[in-house]
Amino acid sequence: MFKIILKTAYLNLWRRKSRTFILIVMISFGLAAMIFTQGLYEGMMSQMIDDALRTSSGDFMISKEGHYKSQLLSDYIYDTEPVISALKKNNNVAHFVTRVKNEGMVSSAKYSQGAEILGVNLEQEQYFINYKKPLRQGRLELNENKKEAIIGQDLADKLKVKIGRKIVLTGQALDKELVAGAFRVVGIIRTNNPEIDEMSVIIRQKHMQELFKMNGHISEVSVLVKDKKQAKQTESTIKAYLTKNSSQKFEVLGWEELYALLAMMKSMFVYFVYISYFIVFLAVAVGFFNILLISILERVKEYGILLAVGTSFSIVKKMIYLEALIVGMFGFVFGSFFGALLLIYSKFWGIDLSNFATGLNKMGMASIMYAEIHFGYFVLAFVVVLLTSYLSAIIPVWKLKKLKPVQAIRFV
Amino acid sequence: MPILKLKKLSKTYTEGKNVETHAVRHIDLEIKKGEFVVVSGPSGSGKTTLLNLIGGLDAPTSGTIMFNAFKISHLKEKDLAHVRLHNIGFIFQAYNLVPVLTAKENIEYIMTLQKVAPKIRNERIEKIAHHLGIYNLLHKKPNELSGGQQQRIAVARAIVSKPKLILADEPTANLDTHNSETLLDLMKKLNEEEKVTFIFSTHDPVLIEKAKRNIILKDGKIDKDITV
Repeated sequence: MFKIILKTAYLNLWRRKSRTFILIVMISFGLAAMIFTQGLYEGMMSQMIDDALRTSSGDFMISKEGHYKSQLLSDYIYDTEPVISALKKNNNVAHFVTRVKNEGMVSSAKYSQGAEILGVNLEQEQYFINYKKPLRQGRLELNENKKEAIIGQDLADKLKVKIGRKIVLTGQALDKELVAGAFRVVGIIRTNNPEIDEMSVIIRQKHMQELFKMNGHISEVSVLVKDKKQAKQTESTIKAYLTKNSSQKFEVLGWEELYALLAMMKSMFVYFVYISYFIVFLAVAVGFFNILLISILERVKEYGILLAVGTSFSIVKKMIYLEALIVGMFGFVFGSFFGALLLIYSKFWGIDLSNFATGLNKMGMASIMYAEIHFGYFVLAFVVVLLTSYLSAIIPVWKLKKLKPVQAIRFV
Repeated sequence: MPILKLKKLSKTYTEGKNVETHAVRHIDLEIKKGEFVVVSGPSGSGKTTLLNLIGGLDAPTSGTIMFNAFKISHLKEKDLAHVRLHNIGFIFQAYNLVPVLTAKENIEYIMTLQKVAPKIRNERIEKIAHHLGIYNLLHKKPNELSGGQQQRIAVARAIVSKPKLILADEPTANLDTHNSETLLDLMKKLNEEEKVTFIFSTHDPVLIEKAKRNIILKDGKIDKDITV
């Protein structure tokens, strides 16, 4: 019996080919837009988070207890060995880097401003600052014997310095004395992390420790994990290990705590995606409902005949729902196909928004956006199509149910 | 025992607030199994309404309809659909075939709903198609058939499910004289051979003459009930 119901529903659909075609195009377009939007939003968000993580905190950061709030140079890690040991022993730790951080002033011949001075070992930063090849001018190397610095593009613009020019770094050393050092700019970078691009001066860690009299100590350790889902558990394991094996007290903070704004944006983006989904869904559902209603009302007489010859209303109802579902499925197949094409293109080639680069960079976004593709997008689209098909058919079915067979046969 | 018994059957349509149309008024009627009955009368006399009430397509305002000693006049739509499916065949003036299905699928449709086995369905379709001379039309869709051919398919659809009663509402109204007479002969033949009860409405005098019993309606009431 299902075969004949399905066949009738399917053939009814193609009685007005152009109308069905328009409906399928409309659903496909809506779904492709929904899938693409979700992939692009998630890609954009992931890029923002990844840029921030790699250039700063990592998935989590280890520092002396209280360092995150105070940001004082005096809150340094003196007991480094157990930290390194804990990280090397943990299977979920992919990479880590040690950094020295101090707040100070950076001055050029034309301008001075507050800066965050970062002492790094660039050789260790291949999965962190170096990972996305942020170099715009000069080189991304710091000579061991020469005092050299790499600065962000925005800071370079403000200071009006070019490659080869000197800048002076001033700050309070560990012994509370004010110290200063001249460094030659050898590289200008763009990381899409506004903190780095606008505020940071990167120098060799050894030079930083010498300048601020750190005696070989570090401020923090940034850690990247293999399995992000296990990051919290890894944090706890490391923290427990350090509590047990070190005389120093540490804080191990995840990126969500360090970048609360970014974490909030991430959860807001989820709602933003759902709101976008809902708007497109509503537009598609209204169009779908409208066309389906007209299509059903045109055939009320035929449904009346079917009822008259003994078809139960539940079968007629199934026919209408099936008709809506078949259109929906066609829309889903084509919509998913085009959505996937758009996502594949955006994932591998990206969408170049260089014209808006300044604004995007200020928000911590890259000017080329890369989308993400997850199976879940298509599952969600499928659920949306099922829901739209069902909801669109409710009123036509209800209108038909109100009629007696004789009224349906006479329906004009 | 009558196959159909109507008791004080009335149907009143209300249009607007106070405008009432009494389409059928207090009809008492008994029809025996295997009868071949014509319901005639001028336009607006209530023929179609009476057939619709008998077939459960419309609900009466008052009175009762007993089908095979079973009261069907106050059944719910779901139960009425079941009664129609297993007991009543319909032949409409405008043929009313499902346009997207082939002639064979149209004929097969009711049997599919009745859950008749595919093999039996095919046997019955073959038999009725030969009987009605529509065998070579089975693969065609309704829009590829003439009016007469469509009505024969409609007859096949009504008869193939082996109903106890066939209701035909002016089945020859859209046919020429030749096709009308052929169709009537066909229905008479089925009535005699299969013992199916036929009730059909018409105001064609030629067809009325061929019926054994003629119920004449006037203003929603039985004016005359003539048995030849």
